[in-house]
Amino acid sequence: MTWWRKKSSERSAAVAAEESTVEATIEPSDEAASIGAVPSAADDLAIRPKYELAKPTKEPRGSLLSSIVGSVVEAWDEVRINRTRVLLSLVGIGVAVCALATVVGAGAVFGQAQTEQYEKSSGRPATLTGYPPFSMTTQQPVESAKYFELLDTLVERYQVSHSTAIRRGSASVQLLNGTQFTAVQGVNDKFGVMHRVDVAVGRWLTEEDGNRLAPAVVVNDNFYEQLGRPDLRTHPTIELKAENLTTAVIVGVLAPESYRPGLSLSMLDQPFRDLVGTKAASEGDITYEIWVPEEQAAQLTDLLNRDIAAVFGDDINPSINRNDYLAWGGPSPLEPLQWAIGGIAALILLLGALGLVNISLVTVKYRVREIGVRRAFGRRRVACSSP
Amino acid sequence: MPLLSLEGVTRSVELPDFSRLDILKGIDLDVEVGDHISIVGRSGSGKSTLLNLLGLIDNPTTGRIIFDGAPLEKLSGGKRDRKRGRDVGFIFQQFNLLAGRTALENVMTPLLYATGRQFWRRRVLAEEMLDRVGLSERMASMPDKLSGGEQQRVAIARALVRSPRLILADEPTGALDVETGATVMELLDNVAEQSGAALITITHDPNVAALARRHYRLDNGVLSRIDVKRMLATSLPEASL
Repeated sequence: MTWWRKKSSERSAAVAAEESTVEATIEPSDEAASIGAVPSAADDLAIRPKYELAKPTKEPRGSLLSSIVGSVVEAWDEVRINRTRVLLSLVGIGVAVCALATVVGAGAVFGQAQTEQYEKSSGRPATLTGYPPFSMTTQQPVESAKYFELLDTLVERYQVSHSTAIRRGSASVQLLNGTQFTAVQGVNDKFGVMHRVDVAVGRWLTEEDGNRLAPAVVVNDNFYEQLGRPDLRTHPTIELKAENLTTAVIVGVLAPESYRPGLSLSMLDQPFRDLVGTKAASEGDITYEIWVPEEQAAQLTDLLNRDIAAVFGDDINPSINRNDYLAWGGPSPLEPLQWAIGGIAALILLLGALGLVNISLVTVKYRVREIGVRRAFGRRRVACSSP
Repeated sequence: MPLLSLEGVTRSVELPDFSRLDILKGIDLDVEVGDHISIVGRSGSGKSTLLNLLGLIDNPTTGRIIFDGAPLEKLSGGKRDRKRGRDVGFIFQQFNLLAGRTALENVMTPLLYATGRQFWRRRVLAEEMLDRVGLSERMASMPDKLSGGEQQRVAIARALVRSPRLILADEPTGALDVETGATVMELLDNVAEQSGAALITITHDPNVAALARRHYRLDNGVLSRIDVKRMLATSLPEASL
């Protein structure tokens, strides 16, 4: 006797009795009516104790917490069981994020270096530059001392914190390999901030240096090299000769700059004038720089030009202009760099996203049966999309 | 009130050539609490499609499905998922145990979607259920270390661990030899009877179908009442489905 026949024989007499009432075949046309009043099922169920029948259950409270904990448990199980796949996915995402961060970071560093380079040469945005203007009537520049005095007054009136006159000239100096000429510029202490002066050894000029009997100077690296790189703690001095002779103390050395191969030094404006005297550079080498907030640059330019015209007359050209690298016109010099970095970042993002989509597709394909099984046991459709 | 009612249910799909294929045609069926029904049919007769409808997974093309007095079309997706998880237990032909998880973890899986005491006591409940199907010694075993019969017993424990009111068994002995199939069916029958759940067995084996109290045959999408026992007894050709 096969197992099902054996089992059938063991069934209760009541069941056997009701089974005998069922017709061997039922025509489909009679089916609908007969199914609703099935004697066998009803009879059988009637003899079963009520407590045996499954009761409907109510959804208990706190389902949100159990849903959250359940999701975490399920996710942890997935990590535990498919740790290689999950680990590789995470490594892939990590590498993509690292690559993206590295490119963006390197781009930002490079961009900042470029920006600083521009700011060193042309001043920080927004730098307004003034030259002693020419009178259209006399065809002569206005007196630079008077012009600078006026600008000092205006800068104070408009409460600009950073400004400097820049005078350029030259002087001879005795170095290890003989007497040489060096470029000299006279500025004030604010110039260091306005042009991001990078001092490698020692320090930049300060306001207190104006009280020195021997003027303080900051030399470039070439100058320092040709001086034999003396220790600044010994307060090395140099003899400078232009119209007058002066002994200066080196207080700082600029970081090496490949694009400025010659000798140069900076000192405060007053000692510069004492040194160069009437041999000061031509009026064209005298400028005045004012560092103002970008959003106020245009308005201040107009105001300063109006005030200058009020003093020197209307027959002079406007002498104040914005001259930092952002005012050079055309696209920003940093734009190509920004586009390149943006392009690389987008490419990395695209590759990362493709990798993620690929992993997700493979995961879904790999787990499609499992997802089906889980759905059969009550997992919600939206939850099945998680990895 | 029946636990589950199908009223004039049809299910059809659109083929790539835009023609329609009618898989189920005008199905009427009432399933009472504690009922045991078998549905036999050849491959391609629509058994799996009917199972998906009975298990609240798919919607009928026309007709109504009423579960526990609530029409299916009035249940949102989330409510239907919760109702399925709470009230319906599935047993599959290929067991579909989750790989890489122990027998105990497999039985605990449905309880992850439960709430309240069932959720927080899932380990205890799963252990009790495995004990009930005689696998208390194999709780830590992986599915690939279990025999076919043991795997199906784990699947039964998994289907019943949330005390469903309806158990859907799709070819529960299809992947088992005759002896093991007999044991598994006996166990399923007993456990379902003890829990008072309605059991619908979908099979192509009339001998398995004979264990039920009501028997149906699905042929070309049409569900009709049959008497499997009489067919087996008289060895009618229809018995070889």
